[in-house]
Amino acid sequence: MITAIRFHGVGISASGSLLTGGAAAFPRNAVGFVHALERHLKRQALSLGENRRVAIGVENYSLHKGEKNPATAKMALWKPWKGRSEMAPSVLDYELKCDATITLIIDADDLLDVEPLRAVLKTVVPSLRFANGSIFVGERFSQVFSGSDGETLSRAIKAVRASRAQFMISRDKLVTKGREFDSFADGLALFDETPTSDDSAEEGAAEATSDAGDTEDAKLARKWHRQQAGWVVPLERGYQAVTPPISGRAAARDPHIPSVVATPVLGLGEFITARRLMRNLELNAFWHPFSDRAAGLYLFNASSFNS
Amino acid sequence: MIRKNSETSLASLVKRSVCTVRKKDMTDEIPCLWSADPDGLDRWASALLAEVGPKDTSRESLENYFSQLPSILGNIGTHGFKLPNPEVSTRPIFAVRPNPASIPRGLIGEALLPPGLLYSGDAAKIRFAKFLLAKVVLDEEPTRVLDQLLLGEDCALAAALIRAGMPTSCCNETAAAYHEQLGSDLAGTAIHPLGKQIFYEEQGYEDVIILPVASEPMIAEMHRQAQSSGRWLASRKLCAVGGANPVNGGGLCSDLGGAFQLLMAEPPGAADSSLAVRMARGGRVYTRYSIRGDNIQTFTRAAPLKQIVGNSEQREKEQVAYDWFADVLMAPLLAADELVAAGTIAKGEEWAIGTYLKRNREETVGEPMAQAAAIEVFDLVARAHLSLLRHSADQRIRDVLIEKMTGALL
Repeated sequence: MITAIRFHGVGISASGSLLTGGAAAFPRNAVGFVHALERHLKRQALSLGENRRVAIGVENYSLHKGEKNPATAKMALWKPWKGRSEMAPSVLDYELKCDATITLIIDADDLLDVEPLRAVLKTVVPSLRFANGSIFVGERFSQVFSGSDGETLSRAIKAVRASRAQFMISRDKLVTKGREFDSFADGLALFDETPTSDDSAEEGAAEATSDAGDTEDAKLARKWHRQQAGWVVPLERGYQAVTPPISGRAAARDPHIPSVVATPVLGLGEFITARRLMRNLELNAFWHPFSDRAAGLYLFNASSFNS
Repeated sequence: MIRKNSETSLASLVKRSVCTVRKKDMTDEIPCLWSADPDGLDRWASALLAEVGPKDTSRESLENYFSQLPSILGNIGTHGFKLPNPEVSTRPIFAVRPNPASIPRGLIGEALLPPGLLYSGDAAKIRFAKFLLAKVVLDEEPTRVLDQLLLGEDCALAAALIRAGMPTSCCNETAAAYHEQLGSDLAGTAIHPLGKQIFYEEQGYEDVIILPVASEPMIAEMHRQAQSSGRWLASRKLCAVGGANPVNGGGLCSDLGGAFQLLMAEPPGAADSSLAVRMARGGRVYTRYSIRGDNIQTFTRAAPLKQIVGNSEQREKEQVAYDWFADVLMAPLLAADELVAAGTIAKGEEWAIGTYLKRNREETVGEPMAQAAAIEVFDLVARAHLSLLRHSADQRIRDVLIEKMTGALL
């Protein structure tokens, strides 16, 4: 079953972690959104079912620049009645914020009746904040489809009028040669300031001339870019725990749930057009949580539409 | 890069070896010592204490200095929070979990970085941390003073420090504090109230809360990469986290100045909605979202204008609330004014705001002009936020705010 939701978010967190910014956090936000949606549904004895995964499309993206404006950033949580000396800023208030029209294509095993799910979504979605931002939804914010073929995906995207959305896909396969990174510098070398596009023949020619004198990493990455059309970006791919799960820590949002201290894990992603996603269902556009407590890995894995 | 030290360069090498992280440190140039050369070790120990030790080299002063080393260990770790509030005292944590045997291909994990220890804490005590974290190459093996102290007083480097005035008991005390920190029970540690907490769906379990932190070596290396010219790097943006006064975070935070370089992932054709760009396109300074609804709610709760009946403390709080909210209301206009002064043309502005922004800047701002701009700002914001409109139905509230807003422009 596929559920498509399109909404406009204002003040969405654009801080993936202390290392990434912009849309890097969107896969995490989308996976978290679906998880929260499921939690809300469970209270009403409903469920999206197992194997929930979500594709995320982005339109109308704009980043708040954080001007010297106390109305936006760091002064927001001042408690003026306490006086300036006792201001209580929040980490969230220092985050980069952005506005964007988000399209979520949620794929799950169970087949809920369309109307009850639509009703729940209409009730629940506005109360679910997307990464601490505000959600503004119109009447046509959800469409529910049954089926799992390419035609269904195409209908879902068209029905919520997201044909201009740029979908975020995982491009781990860009890492070739089977080699692991030796250092962060090696990883950074995979990212490029100059993205490519489907019609980048001229860029390719320019890149070819600039190969001389480049490092091995740069040559390798340019080669990938010539082979892979798209807009390559760094993405937050999850977390790696540095402590075991610990329950009962004071000040936890839920003291009954164990907490782990974890560091961000980065990966490569790519923005592709909705048309290209519909044309090639093999692309890894669906994000889902993956965890391995023994290894301390909490990742957002991506799978193709067919899998 | 490791260079063998000459006599003349020893002092400068020691100086560099105690700088935990420096932007200019693209390479490590650290002293190279040999266990079989006690004279060389003694000279290095003296140079190290001259660099980071007490100025007064009397026995009492040295004992006092070394007695503080164990307490510094709590501020040394591999990972740490970086919080914007300078009042916050947070401590770094050691990575107590081993790295996974294999990290999935295509993921850049911090586990792949060599482990590093850094100090985060009171900058006034950084010299103690610099002593413990001072780098040295001993018998061709890179090491730190801390690592050598943990080996005990029989170690050649520790012995040299003892000869230079370090109490013999310092090794054992430091080791005890180190192992106590390693074995500390995190269950008793409260999650920091400013820390982010992310609910995560975990297979086979109910849920787990992720508390994201970043390793300081990771941030430091990213910062170095960003600084190094010619590197091939993703688009970056500077994210200020706390202005010029971040947590007194030792070498790392001091060097970063409270700012992170973030790897940015932006969609193709992402719009730039900054004030400068909006103005350049002929847009207006005040939009529906120029003032946050949260701020208006805060103001309406905090400033009911009951000065007549409230006590002095209540009146003071309300006055602070008015001052703060007047600043909030005027901030976009003042930011735009700075941009205009820097050359941006306020094409989209007219009426009182336009008059203010396009004024002759060689003349002082007159009160009528400032008041007219303040009234227009207030009306614009109130029109977009009904809660402010309702709250300011009391003319006194509106008058007090306009007066304070006018003052911000004068």
